[in-house]
Amino acid sequence: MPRRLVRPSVLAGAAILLLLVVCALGAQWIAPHDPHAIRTPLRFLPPAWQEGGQAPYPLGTDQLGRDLLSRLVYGARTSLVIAAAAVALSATAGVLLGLAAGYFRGPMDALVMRLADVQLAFPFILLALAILAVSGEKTALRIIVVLAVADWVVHARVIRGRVLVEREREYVRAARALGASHARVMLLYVLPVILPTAIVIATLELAVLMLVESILAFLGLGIDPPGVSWGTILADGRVNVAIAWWMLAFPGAAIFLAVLGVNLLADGLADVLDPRLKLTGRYTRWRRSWLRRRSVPTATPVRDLTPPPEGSGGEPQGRAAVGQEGTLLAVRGLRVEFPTDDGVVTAVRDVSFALAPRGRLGIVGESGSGKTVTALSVIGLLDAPGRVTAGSIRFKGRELVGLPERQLNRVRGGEVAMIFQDPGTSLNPTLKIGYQVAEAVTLHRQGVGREAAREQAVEALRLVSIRDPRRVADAYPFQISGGMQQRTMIAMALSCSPDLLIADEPTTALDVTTQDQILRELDALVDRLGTGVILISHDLSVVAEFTDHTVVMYAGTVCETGPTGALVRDPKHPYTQALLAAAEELDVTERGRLGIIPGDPPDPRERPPGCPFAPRCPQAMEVCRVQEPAPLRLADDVTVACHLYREETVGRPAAR
Amino acid sequence: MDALLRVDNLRKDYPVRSGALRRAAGTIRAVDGVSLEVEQGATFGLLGESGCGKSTLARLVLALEPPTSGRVLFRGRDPHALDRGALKAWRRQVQLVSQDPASALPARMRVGRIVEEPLRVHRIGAAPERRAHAAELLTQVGLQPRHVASYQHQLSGGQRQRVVIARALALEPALVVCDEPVSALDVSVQAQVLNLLRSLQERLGLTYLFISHDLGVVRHMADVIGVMYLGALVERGPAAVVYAEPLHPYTRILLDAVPSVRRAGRRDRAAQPAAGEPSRAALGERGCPFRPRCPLAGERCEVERPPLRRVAPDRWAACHYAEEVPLRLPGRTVA
Amino acid sequence: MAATPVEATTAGGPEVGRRRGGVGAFVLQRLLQALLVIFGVTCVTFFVLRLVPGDPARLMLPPGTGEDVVAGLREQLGTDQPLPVQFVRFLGGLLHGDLGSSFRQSRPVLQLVVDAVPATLALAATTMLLAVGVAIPLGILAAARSGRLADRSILALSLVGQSLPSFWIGVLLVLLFSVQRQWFPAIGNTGPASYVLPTITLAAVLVAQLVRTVRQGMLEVLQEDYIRTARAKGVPARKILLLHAFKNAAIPLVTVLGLQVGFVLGGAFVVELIFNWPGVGLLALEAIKTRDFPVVQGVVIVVATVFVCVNLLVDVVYAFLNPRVRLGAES
Repeated sequence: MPRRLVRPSVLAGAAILLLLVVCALGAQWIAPHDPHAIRTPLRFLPPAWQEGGQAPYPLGTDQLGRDLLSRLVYGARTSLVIAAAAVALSATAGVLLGLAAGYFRGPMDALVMRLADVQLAFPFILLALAILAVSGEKTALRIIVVLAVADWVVHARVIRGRVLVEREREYVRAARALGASHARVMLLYVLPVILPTAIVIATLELAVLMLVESILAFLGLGIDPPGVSWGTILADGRVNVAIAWWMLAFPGAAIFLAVLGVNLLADGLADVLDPRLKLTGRYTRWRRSWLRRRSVPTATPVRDLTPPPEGSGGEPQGRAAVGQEGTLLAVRGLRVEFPTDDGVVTAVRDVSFALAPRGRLGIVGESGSGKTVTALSVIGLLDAPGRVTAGSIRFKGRELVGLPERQLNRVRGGEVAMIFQDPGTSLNPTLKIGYQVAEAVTLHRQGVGREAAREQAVEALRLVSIRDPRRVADAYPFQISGGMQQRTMIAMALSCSPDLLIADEPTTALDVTTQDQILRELDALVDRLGTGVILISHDLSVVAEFTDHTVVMYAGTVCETGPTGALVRDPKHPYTQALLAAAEELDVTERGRLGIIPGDPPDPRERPPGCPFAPRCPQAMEVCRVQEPAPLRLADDVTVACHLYREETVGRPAAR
Repeated sequence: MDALLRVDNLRKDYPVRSGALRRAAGTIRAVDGVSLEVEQGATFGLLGESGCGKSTLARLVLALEPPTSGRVLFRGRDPHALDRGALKAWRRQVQLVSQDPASALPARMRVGRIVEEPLRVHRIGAAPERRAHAAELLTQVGLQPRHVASYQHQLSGGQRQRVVIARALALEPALVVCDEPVSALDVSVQAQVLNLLRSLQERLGLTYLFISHDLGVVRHMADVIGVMYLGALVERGPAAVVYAEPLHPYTRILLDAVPSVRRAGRRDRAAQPAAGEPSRAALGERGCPFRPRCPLAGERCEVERPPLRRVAPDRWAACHYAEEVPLRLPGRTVA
Repeated sequence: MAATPVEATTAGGPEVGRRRGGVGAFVLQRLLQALLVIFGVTCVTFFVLRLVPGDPARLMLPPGTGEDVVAGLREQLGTDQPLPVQFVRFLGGLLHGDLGSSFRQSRPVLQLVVDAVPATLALAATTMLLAVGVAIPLGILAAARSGRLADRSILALSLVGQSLPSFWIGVLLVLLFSVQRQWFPAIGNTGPASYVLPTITLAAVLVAQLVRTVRQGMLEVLQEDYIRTARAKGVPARKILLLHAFKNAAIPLVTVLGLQVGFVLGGAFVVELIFNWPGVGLLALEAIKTRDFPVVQGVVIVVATVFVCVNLLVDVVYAFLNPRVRLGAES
């Protein structure tokens, strides 16, 4: 992580801050002259490199003959000390108040928030001016206090927001259940979590307050002599702008550079400490930035077992007819990679399967299996920087990998539709349901006007057993239940009668009774419409009841494929056997010891050589740890990737 | 025969606020008169879908929130009647294992420290003793001693949940409330954790209140089962018997809805799916809250709310037609 | 599947679209808060100005003036009364719309302030328009091209803009375009051309901040699941950005804009000084120099009231934009 901190911009910022600190601490040694020394005969000297300038006064002198450079150095001290002290005060007060307000809520929160509102309503500058003007002397302390009082609100608000989220988290509840007091929970549990944010905000506000201090000084309310402020110098410069441009340029530049430096540092800190603030453009991993014109895979030629039918590689305007082999979707040798800070992660390697028209294919796997990544790659929805780096995805004979975005958009929704796991977050909260469903229609059905599309949307909602479709169409997603939301997703997906529906864990987020209803309804619907389905799930039982064929994935590779009935009755791969055993044992009416597979599903970033399941496989052999098994075709549509089955012993396992 | 935990007619209402002045505009009854008993050393499985109130019940049992009415009795004493000091001491006896280990463990505390924390809070033992105890707890749950220095994000899901369990055991509680302890874990890991919980129960004589929406998991862990619907218990009885022959239509529907590998192939379309979703609108009225969805609903169900009544020596059901359920709702046959 | 869809389930029943309060309730709540805030501002202003050490009467008169003269002025100003009495009198006057009289000009403060407010509001309005008009497209662009050259450049410019002292910009602009080239006037409010430099000065920093806010808001929205759904439907990129994403990002943005109005009002003070713009800022600065406290107080209260009203308006807009509030989501 600290690696990210070492960037040119951040280093520059840190250097500037360092310079400021040096000036602050050692002004008397760095500044060439006394900043208050008045030398009237030397007034308005231009900078040394200009005509009339003198070397001892490199940046010129002001209206009283005082050396500008020295004044700038002392001004740095003023700026930094005042701003830093003020931030220290305001951050402490703000964080404590924000913490208390967010944690206890209720009256405490209301009080703090109203105080904050009042504070924010003030044109702060005005009040600061008034106080300082009224109070006669403008000592550093007064200015610090005024700045701090104005600034605490910023810290309090941000911290309060964070605390509100953290206190709902399970570990807080767990700590309270232990018997920990509120104070302990706040200080030991919540505070460490928000501290990074607090630091980032404090750094940002340091920059802000440095700026504000100079504004106050500019307006005539900077620190009294013997203090020197950049703002005052600049104010003098404004008065004399016609004759001494350097009195304007240099202090302004000083302020600008100082503030810029601190801002750069703050950005760098934010990146490392609290990326959620998203202050910068750092290209973090897994972030979606899909608005590229086209995806460019470095596809290596795949050992194409069946050449594509002639002429189907072109750009058909309407819908392509199903390819010659009669396959709706043929995935071969798919490989998906994600470049990350720690190197390239292969999420999916050498995945192959096929789906016939109107067929039902299930993809089963746990976390890290790559099932979702596979599904997303079909219609090019991978989160960048993920890319398909090898393999082919042929839909109705047409190659989808490398297809330009515009054409892919025509396929998406119209020919291949996809529904996702959490319907609550998968629907746009600011668009009405009817609009979202109708949008699919207007995009893919030619010549359908807005009114007609709306009608079709209502029909689609009726089709998914929503009782009052017109009313639902007029509603927003948050107004309907989870089951109805998922039905809406299905309606949206099927409204254009696609040839293929990909359903990624469509019922995982729903109750079991709702899941049952929806799967049944979906079953009937896709039968009626003749849609092919790829159903992805971690639950073998769901897949078992719904599909004709199943693909079992583990750690990004395919373990086994085959007709669902056969696979469930006689699983070949040890992993499939284990999954089945787990599903059965939790199903059975007998209680006993659950047969377990030790260990955990692997992290895609750390992949030992050989078969990925070897570390956990009860039947692992020597060869399994060394060589990755290649997929072997055991029968017409049964493949298995396991050393237990070898070429010459097809049909019989090598050793059990 | 005194049960370790007894819950008496527990009720919990939450006010609903609306309008400009955030005035209370009604209440949501999250827990609606629940009574149950848990024997020492046994596992009581609480089953229900989302919104049924099982998590609220857990919070009430853990004394994290006060009930609106009714009592929680642990070893005959009501924790909600204790003062703060006594309550804190009471907490040593009842602990929580919750659902998502990633958010149940503080992110910036090392594992060893996390497990020691209960001991610190209650000022038990000196530092070296605490450390030793923590290390031992980690081995008890199947982790390596070296994990003491890890942070939670360096561990896998299953390992994290083991840390959560270790933390729960630190104070040697008598009752552990498990609120969806394996729901966030991969299937291949769930069995590990469930087995761990079982073996710990045998070894340490723990009592579990085991809450889950997953019928298979509950079946595997529980001796006695309670099925909750919209805040109330609708059926209660020994696990094996309830699963084999439920006495409440909702239980039947739940069981039928669970997918099974034994039914591989196309769905059995002839069987009726459960209609609708739980609706709180039906709660305010008289009559049975399950009536809108019940295939057996009759006239009596409209006007009279069935209490949880004893249908057989060990079996309780909140249905007027409980005795008829096995006959009239035989359930899906397994192919 | 059994039966026809209409009978199969009870999904889609009366739970849909229940209105509970909605915009009216929300606005009422905010209005009450707003009144509370204004009252708070009034109290704070009053007490702060009077609690700061220093006797206004003495500060107004030349040093060495006799005590009796000072006492006489105190009585005239009303600062000899105990604080609570002064406060009550003040509040009483406030309810009649009387903010006191200027110490220096013996004109009612309210009139002075009301005369000056339009100029400041006009400047604030043009600034906000310019800022929004520039920042929103740039922010959306930066989010759309996240991580690439356009984004990095915009971010860099934004960083620079945020770090520039506005008064320096103002003074430099005067120097370059008014003194040296005489393209735009630098003094006072003399017609549309005179708006240019002050507006640019005020807007520069605001644009820099807003671009970041818009960009951040858009980036967060673009990560959401519903954007992925839209892509899966085949919605073209432009429509996703401008409709699906921006509609959601606009909601919190509106709130931020409301807060930024406060920043603009504050920044206007400095700009009014530089450009001699006849607004409340200039009025207040003059009043501070001459220790004319009623005027200072009056300006603070009026400006705060304006800010609160603007935010109230913002809240109304927010309530309309956010369907959850508009339709009264269940708690």
